[in-house]
Amino acid sequence: MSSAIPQRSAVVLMWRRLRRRPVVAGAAMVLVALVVLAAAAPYVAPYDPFILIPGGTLHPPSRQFLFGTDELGRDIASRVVYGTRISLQIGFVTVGISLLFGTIFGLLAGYYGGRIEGAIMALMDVLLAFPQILLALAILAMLGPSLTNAMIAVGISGVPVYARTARGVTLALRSMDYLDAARAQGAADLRILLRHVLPNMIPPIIVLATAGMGISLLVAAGLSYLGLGAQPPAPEWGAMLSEARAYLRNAWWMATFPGLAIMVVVLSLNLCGDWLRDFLDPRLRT
Amino acid sequence: MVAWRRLARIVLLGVALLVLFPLPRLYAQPRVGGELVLVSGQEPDTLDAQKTSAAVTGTLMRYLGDTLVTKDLKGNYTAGLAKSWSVSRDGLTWTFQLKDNVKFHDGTRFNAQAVKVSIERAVAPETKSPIAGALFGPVASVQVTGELAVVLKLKEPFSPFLDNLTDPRAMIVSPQAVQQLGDRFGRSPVGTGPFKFQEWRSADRIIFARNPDYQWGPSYVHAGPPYAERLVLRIVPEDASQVAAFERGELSILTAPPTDVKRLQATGKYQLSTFLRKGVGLFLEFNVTREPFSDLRVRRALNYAIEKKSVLAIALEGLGEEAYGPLPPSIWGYWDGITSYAPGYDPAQAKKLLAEAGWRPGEGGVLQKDGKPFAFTIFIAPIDTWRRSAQIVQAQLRAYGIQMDIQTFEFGTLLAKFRAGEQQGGFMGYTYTSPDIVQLWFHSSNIGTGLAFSHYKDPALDKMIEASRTEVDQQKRLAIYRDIQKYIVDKALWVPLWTNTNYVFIQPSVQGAKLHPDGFVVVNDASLR
Amino acid sequence: MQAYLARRFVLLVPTVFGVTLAAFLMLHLTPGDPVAIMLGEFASKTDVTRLRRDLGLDQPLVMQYVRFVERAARGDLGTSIRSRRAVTAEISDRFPSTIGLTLAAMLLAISVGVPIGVIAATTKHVAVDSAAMAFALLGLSMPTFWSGLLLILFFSLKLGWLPITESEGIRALILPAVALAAPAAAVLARITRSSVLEVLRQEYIRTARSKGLVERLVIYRHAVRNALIPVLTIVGLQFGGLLAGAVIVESVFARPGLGRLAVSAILARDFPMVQGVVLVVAVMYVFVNLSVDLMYGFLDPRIRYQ
Repeated sequence: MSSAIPQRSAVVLMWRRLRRRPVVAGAAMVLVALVVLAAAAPYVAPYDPFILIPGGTLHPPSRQFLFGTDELGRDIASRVVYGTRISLQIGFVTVGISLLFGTIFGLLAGYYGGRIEGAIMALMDVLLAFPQILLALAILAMLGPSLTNAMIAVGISGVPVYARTARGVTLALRSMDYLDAARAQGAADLRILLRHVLPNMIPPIIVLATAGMGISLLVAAGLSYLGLGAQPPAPEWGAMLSEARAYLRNAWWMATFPGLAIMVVVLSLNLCGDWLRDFLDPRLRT
Repeated sequence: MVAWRRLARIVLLGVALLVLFPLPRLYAQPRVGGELVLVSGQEPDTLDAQKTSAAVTGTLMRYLGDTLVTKDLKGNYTAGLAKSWSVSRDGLTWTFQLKDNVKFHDGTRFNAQAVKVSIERAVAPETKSPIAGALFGPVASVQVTGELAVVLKLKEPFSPFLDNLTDPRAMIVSPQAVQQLGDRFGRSPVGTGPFKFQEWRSADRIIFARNPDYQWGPSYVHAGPPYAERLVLRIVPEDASQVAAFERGELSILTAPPTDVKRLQATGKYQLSTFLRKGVGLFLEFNVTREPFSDLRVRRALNYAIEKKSVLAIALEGLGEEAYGPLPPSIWGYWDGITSYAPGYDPAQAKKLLAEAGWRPGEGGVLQKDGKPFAFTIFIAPIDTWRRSAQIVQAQLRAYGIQMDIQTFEFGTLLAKFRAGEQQGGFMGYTYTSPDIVQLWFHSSNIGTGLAFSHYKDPALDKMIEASRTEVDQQKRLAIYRDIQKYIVDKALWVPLWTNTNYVFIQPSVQGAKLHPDGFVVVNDASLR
Repeated sequence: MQAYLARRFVLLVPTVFGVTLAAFLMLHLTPGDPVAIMLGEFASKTDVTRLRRDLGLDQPLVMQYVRFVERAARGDLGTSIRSRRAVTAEISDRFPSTIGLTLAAMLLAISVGVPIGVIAATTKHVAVDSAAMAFALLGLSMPTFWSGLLLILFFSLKLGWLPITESEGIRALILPAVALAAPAAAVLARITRSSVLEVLRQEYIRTARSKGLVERLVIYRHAVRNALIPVLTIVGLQFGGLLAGAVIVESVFARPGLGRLAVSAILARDFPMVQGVVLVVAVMYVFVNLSVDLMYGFLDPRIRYQ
């Protein structure tokens, strides 16, 4: 198991490697742009995403309305821009939930072993026995449809993957007698976990989180598409696609731009995820 | 010389054409066979006419069942399962002579006993009938006075009675099937209609088969069974898919969504009939038992605040009329003074009323009262025109500093929630043939069981509604309905939004389908080429 | 082999136990009173008591669970609140549609994904490899509900080649299967590629090559066959993904399958129905994974002796 890479050299190294992969660099820039757009949405968006422009229904893309307008006369470009906020929120909240609980469960299972491990991993196995969307659906059924609940559901459904990885890392460390040494020196459990185990977990978790964020975005947008996530008039991309269904023939732009937005973001996350995996965990390089 | 040759060529061509495409034989019998495919966005809640609250079930029952009395294509009452009827002078005793040789689809005989069982089931409290029970109104008893003679006794005169008897949900159901099937009757109904139930594939289609024994049809269709072999109702939730399917020939008849009307019309391929919907297409209904709409001033304020014109223009592409009261112009009893009587778009008046009710603009222009922002949630069904209208209303109210959230439920769930009074407000629409609909929507006896979703209890209103039902003089009845409409507008129980014009497109291959004034397609005479 | 089989089956017991427990607990973990949610808060007292009794909620939790499993084993998953039909009847109505779609998508994913992976791994042209992988990445990043809409737009609306609302027959299966298969094909292509590359680096391939075997023979006889074993596991995992993806694809194409059933049951708060679908799909998924494991053991002799 590779130990944590010292920070500054890692950044320099990343930068050097990135320069040789323009596509990945582009993807990284897309992600940076996403954050910037979300932060600057009110300044970037040409219109209020909720306002109905009088006489402005179903305009095709033009100089005035870059991505056209929707059936109610709202500017789609502005809605896509504001949608970045929701997507970022979805990405961070879902992955945050999965990561937090997954890591805690994995650490505890791997570190303590025995019954605790048995119980935690049995729970994870059960969760893994459900395909992710189905698990998210089941959780949503309990909580009721809303964007917040959809995020919680998607977050929970991602927990077992992180738990497995975290446990794997902890087990590997345990087998290296590395932890026993620390314990022999009188370190407390929590301290060992935080100081010695957690740092080693960062690289694989970053890889997982990057790719996982793409999947989370897809699942959450899918739930909104089904009417179980974001509710109108939220400019969530999946929900926008859902509304575009009735206008597929009359207004192609309504379905085109939100779909493209989802795809570009997920594609960028996947590209960066692949690259990070190669970079941080060379054994997996293909 | 050249001219002769040309003439000869034309004659020859003419002969060849005649041989290739023979002229249609005159008086040709319509072909028996084929499938008439209808479509609905919603799946019926049940096919039990007496337990349904879904409009689509009502439409299907037009084909599966028969009613004692029916209306012809001009809207005049005519014989259904009863060949004649009479009413006593006091309006309390109705006598029906039934048609002979009528059979239910399960083979049992239709007779006076069946009428008795059927009506008694509809009005029995344990049936919990949302609509059918109310149709029979104050029925006190059903007496069998002969194999084919029935006497209905009413507790009080009931003027909508004859009209109600023509409602598809007043159809006579097979007593044997009801008894044998119990709860399952709703999944395999048995009536006497031109089509009989064959199969219900959940979320996909409902299939009715031609009833070969059908000889007792009403006067305005041909005697004998229908020509189509099958009548299929496809369940296709999305408007866009419905239109595309119709254009591909997968559907025979389509009520087109407003988004596609102009394009379909421009093709010139289809037969088209239009009519103003019988019923208010969409209204925002307040629950008066919940904040903030327990306050009449707030309800009235919203009536002034919402601009219906753009709702109609955007959500319906202008294909309909603005609505003002509980009745549309397409239903008898409508009072045309309502358009000027009802509150019109007047933002200043709206703001004034809101301020009177204690709602004043606070931070960021959001209306506040006692430190609480003006925010409420309406429940709607996933219907495209509703969803669009909701978002327009939402955007309009936002300009006043009112936050309206929208929550979507499947239609059946929506009805249950409204009945239970869980909503602050919600969208609804109805289709009905008589002004007696006000009884279902506004009489306090329908709170919790029927359609009185505003949960409004008012003895004065109840009394007016009761009077409208017992008054036999039609002119006096009209006056009562006028007062009811004014009263409901005064109490601002709804914000009526629009009534849509229906555009019914029929494939060129379908011959002989007729549009009934009550807003459904009569298919007995329809044949497929 | 038999010992292995037996061991796998024993391992199955806790998982199936857990899955049934999870489905069962859904009702109890729901915040608030599920009966009130189902019936609405102003429901009459008798209705509430009756539904409680029907759902067995008046008994101790353990008894309820035992009864739930016992009935489920007999094929009784309760009655749908909405349609008043047996949950199993509703599910079996929809089952064939979903299975047909999933299998068609699986076949499509394998027959497109695996060859792309093999080609990408064995080609000498960097451009071909990059193109194949870019294609796979695209497949992975396209939301199925978007690709589904685009497919409808082009093939049904613009070209009019394929039906939109039909739910029966092969022609009606094509577009949804393509939309559903795309991400799975992408995953398979990526896994196949790396697996083949891995094998090509192995000692025995080098030996084979040094023995002078023709390159193509080396690739197909040795490398690909061995490389496909790990791919098989992924196929199993993807099957679950496809079942879940069917939820969305069925909604896009208005197919009357289990997925749409689950979504409408959630919107209608029809808990017995949701429980039923979740349970059936999860159990199916568990058994698919089991059979994949068994096949894996069959194909890779090393596993039998573990």
